[in-house]
Amino acid sequence: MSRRWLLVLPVALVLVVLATASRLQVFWWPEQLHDVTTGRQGEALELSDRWEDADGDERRRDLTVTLLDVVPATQVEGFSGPEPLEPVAGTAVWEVRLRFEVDPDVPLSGCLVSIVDTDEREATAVSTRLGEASLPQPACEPAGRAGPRYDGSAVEGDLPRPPTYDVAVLVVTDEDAVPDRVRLWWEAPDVAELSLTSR
Amino acid sequence: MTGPARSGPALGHVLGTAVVCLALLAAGSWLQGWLPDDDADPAAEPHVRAGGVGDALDLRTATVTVDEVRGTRRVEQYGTELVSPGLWVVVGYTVVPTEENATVTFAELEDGRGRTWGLVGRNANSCAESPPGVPVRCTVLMEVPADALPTLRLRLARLSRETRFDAVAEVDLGLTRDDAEGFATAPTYSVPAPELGDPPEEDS
Repeated sequence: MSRRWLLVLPVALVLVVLATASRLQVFWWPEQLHDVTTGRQGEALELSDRWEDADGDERRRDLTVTLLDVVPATQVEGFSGPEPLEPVAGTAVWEVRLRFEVDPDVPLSGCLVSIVDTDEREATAVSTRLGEASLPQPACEPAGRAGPRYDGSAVEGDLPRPPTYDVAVLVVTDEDAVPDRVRLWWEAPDVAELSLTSR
Repeated sequence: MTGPARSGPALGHVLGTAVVCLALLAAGSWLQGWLPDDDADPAAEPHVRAGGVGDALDLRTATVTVDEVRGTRRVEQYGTELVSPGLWVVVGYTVVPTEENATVTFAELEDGRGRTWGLVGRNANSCAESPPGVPVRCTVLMEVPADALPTLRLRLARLSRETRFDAVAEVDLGLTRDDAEGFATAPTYSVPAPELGDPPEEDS
């Protein structure tokens, strides 16, 4: 009789694991970049990106992005114009060139850009100091021509954003890193993944 | 008149049941005191990786190495001199992220008496986010009483707001009473900003 109950044990264990796994769905999975739209360098990629507004309502923006190139960066925008970027031992700085085609009324601030190298390491662009240079926060809007904020208000002093424009984002990597693809996202779970054709 | 013989449990059976019940109650009471209470969560304790100065400690998302330990009564940061009534312990360490950008924002000193010093008041941790494979040289400075020096250990981790379940580096700073005397007369130390990249090669 008692041995028959042993058969129930695996079922109970499975139920325990499933009950625990619900926490992954609630707390972990929604924060992961799992809704991937893939494309290739030089090809226009249409994106539909979901985001949550201040009231917690889901909103959606549609845009087209093209990865133009990823090249070693030679200069950075300083206070009085472009300044040469001096190499720092152990690092490489890449310029990720992106073209956006998007309605000027769509908010686009707060984008994140990363380079995934051939070793699957992901370097995300951040504002940082590298040697004597200050690298800026990544921006997916042209300087001085930002679109609306997320509350719909305009950025004071800025001109309207053109419907098509290019941006350059600086990304620091290990000096041995070989870029394999570029990732672009705002809020999880949507992410665009653009492979380099030179790979 | 004689009735039918009673068929209830024997006295021995009743006593045995009572003893078992008392034993279970005692065991339950003992377990109650021994098991963690509602606030305790031992399963969430951080995973401590212990080492000494110069040891590369694996924090899963990054490797952390304490490079040097200094001490003084006066430090200078952002152009301001800070004088401690005790001693400033200044630790230089290097973080090398493994798979994605990382930094260290949790730092805590603990001495042999169980006293801890965290990032409060004038204590500070100066570090920056770095991409995978790129070292970032960071500095943590904390003021402690001189008698704490000989047993000081530094704890470093990824997130200042959350160390549960995470890996924490615990480094024995290897300081002595003689160090405390030397630190008391050391000149002002200017705290460097965090630096990305390989450390400069030393002249041989």
